[in-house]
Amino acid sequence: MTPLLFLIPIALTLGSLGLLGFLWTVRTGQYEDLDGAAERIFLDDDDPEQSHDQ
Amino acid sequence: MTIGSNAVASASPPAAILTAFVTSRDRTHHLSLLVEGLHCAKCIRKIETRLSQDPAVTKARVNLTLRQLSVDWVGDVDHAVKIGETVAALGYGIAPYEAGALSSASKRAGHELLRCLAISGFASSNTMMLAWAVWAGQAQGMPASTQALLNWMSALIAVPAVAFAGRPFYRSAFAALGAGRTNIDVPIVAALLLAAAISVFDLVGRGRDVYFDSVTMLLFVLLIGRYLEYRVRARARAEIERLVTLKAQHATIVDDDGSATIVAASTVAAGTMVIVAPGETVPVDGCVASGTSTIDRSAVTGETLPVKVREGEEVFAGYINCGIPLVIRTSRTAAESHLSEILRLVEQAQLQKGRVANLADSMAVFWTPAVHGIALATFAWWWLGAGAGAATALLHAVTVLIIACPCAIGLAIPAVQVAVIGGLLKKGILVRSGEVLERLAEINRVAFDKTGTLTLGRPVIVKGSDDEETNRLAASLAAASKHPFARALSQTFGRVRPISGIQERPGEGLEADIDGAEVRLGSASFCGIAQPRGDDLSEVWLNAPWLEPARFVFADAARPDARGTAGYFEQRGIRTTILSGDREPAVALCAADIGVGDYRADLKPADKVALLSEWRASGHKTLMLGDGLNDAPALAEAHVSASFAHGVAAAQATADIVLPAERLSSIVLTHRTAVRAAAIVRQNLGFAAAYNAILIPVAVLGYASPLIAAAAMSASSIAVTLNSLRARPAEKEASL
Repeated sequence: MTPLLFLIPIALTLGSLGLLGFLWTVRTGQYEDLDGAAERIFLDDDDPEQSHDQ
Repeated sequence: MTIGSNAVASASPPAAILTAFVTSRDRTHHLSLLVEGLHCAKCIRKIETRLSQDPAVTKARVNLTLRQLSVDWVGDVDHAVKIGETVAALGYGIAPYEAGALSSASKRAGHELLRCLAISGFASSNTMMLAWAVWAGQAQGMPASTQALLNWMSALIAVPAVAFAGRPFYRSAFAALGAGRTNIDVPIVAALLLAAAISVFDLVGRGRDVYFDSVTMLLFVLLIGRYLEYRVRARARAEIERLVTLKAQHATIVDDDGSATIVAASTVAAGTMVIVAPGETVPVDGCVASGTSTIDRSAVTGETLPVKVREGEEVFAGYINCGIPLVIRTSRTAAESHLSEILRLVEQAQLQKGRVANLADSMAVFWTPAVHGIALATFAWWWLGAGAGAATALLHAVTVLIIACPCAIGLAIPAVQVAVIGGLLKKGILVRSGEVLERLAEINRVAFDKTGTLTLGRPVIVKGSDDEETNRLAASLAAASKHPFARALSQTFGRVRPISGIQERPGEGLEADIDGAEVRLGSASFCGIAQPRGDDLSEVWLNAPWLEPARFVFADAARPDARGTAGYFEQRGIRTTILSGDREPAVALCAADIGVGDYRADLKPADKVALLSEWRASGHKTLMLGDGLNDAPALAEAHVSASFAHGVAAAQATADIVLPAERLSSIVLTHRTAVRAAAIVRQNLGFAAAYNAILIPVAVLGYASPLIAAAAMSASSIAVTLNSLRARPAEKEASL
């Protein structure tokens, strides 16, 4: 019985971490451009990205 | 008045128009563009690198799925013009894009579905984990208190999940009930809430018969189906929006002081003077203020013969100016225009059609109560009838529940539809949603529009002169005009001799002075031909003093694949008819050419709609194909409709299917694929039914354990999905 009392909450916590991670990816728009993401792995950007300060 | 020399409408609207689409916040400006010609990583890099070299640009991001470019920059709003020119200079066509309210709402709906899907997935996998523990425990003598604990944990996961993740269904069901009707979501919601409530009451009471895993699993599977449907619809809508936006009109307005500005046609106010150059489409409804020219009305009414317009006459948006520049006084804004009238007719027809109940939803909804009923009966029979212990009875009931999980049924139809629509999209055929395929497979009648659908939409020379020199002379004169007949002459007889001083007389013809002699190309009366032939064919005469008067005959030639396409439907026993706005002789000629017996001519848009609803009332399910503005209401009224990428924006927005430009025969491929998809859906459902018919009795009779049941259920889902892949159109499949 005792093992259940801590194993189940652990399992649920790990599961919810995964769920929260997924929800975060939806929110940051990572599913907007799946074709683009697939193609971008072919780009070799050896130079560090130029960022413009705002 | 000085107007730019580049008067012919080009593929990209002028960069100057982009500033109107810039959104700003403080000093940061944002512009979204549709980009044509994007294929791969290299295109992404080319555009993004070139734009980031611009010091003012802070962000340039290409979205390859939507084929859009999103640019942010600081500084001037007008910098948008330079950005547009930069991208165009790299060789990509661009058009300004404004995310409409509809597409933003659709995106939010998609995100919500995805969130609900994730939560129900989490809930169903964890409640299943706990449920397995309980079932295993029942077989191994787990104390009742532990089982109760596990069941309570399931409840804690399942109840909030069902409350939250079921919202798309609750919203739809309660909206329908509030309006006094029911829709498909009402029984689904009833099933979910009832099962959850029974489980909770039972838990509080005895702690034994809980069905949380079934509830969450059902929700999860239904959400998968919903999300797949949503993806298909969203993709189709984005493609159609894209087609429509790429064709959006710009107008050149003229101020009192004579300066010309280019703006979006939708912003032109009534009373504004607009100039329409030869070859350009008239952007707004209006009245001709100055200029006499010929206009081509085929995109709006289907008539192939251009007509002459002069001052004071009315012109509508969508007409093409063939002659000389016209100045028009706008009479109605875009919102009130003739086009909007047609779109209103379209909306009305669509509302009446309503939403056809989805077959998948119907099956899933009938299923759950049936399954729970059988499970309850199983439990009752084993416990009371056969006298086995409650535990054993419960086990068997649970096995029934697992085996009868509606996963296969829930997936059977969406999986096929997604596979088919994705495959067709790769071939350039755009299908709006899965139910369009269902409707296409059941048609028994086809109505074709004539101009632009069955025919090329532009006149072609049917008979010219036998003398080479005559032909070349005619083509040389014709090069100066944008009239469809003139263009046909230039295209057929090429190699022109440049002639200067050609004068065009709208509605009559062209004349020029060559070596002192007057040469005329035009109507019979203009060329001084006394005896008209009277055979009602479109003709143009060439009269030069040193040559015999020559006659050129034009016809709107049928597409090469038109006969084959009509033949395919006739072969399948589907009646074909031609519905056209053009004159009777022209339609009769086309019908004879293609081999279609039944045709109607001189139809107004409302006439087409009336015919289609008459047919619908007598039980016909009609497929309507059309590309012009006059077809849009009929497209909305038909059982299922198709338009072309080369068609008018309104037709594309209304049609259920958009075929690649100029490819009439692709409807054959689409129909064949839809019929095959319907067959595979039947196979899937049949398989699911057979699987359940065999295995449920097995579970009821107690010959299966929950483990076997779960394995069988997964196997059936996989089998259904694999079978669905067969529905895709083959890579190399030819259209006819």
